[in-house]
Amino acid sequence: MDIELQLSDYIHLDPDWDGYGGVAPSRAAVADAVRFLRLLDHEVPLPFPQVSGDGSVGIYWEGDDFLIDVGFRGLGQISYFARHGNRRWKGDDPFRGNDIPKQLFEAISAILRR
Amino acid sequence: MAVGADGESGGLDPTDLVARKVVSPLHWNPVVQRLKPEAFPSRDFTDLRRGGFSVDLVTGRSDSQICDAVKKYAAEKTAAKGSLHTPEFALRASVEAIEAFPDRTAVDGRAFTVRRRPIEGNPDHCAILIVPEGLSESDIKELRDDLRQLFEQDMILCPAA
Repeated sequence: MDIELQLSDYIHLDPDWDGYGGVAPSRAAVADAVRFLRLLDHEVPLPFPQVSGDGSVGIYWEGDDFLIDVGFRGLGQISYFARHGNRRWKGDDPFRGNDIPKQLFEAISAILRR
Repeated sequence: MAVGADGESGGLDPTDLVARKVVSPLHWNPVVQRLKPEAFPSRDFTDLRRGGFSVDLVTGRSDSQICDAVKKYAAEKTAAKGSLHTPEFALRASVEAIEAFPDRTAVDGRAFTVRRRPIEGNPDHCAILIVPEGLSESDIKELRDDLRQLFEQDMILCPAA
């Protein structure tokens, strides 16, 4: 299934969907995740979608030796953590949907365009 | 709200084992055969109103007993909420291993504490909480990645009957 459709489907999750009082993400959170996806270069492999019981939504890439974990709460902020070997990148930045935070861009470039 | 800075483990022994019952397939990535990072919701670790990151004390229980508890939990949730919950996994780790992760923001500090917090209908309920106060969302993403890798070392598959 298309990743944007999967993210949009999360809006319709039932209350307590995870068995621990989980809530569905807001439309704003999903919209931010979709905006972020559309900023990605076509050379970057498609990430996986994910949803949290605490109402955030995200995308991530994972391989044997790396992780890039990006999350949105629909509050105009993007939070991310990435690791590759001993290198770490992380940050919490404003997100308006028109650019990728510099550190995250560096992580994506370093890890996914090897 | 940060807790556990006093170094106590809330009535638990370091050798005690705790397990997370996973009852949603959305937490599993079948492509890479791993748990998704969001299987560990950031806010659970800092929000006691959400009960902390919920686990059960399972010391002395066999894999099949633990799986029976996962299946029972999924069935109860499905009956109570009217939406399908499916038994997937139990994720098991020792209190000692969980509390061994260091707080990267302090010397000699630890990142997580496990505390016994019985709730109605579940006297074995425990909560995993982050000890340092004021961490950012990205700090918590980093810590939960440590925890995910630990729990992935002892996953008990609990298929529906």
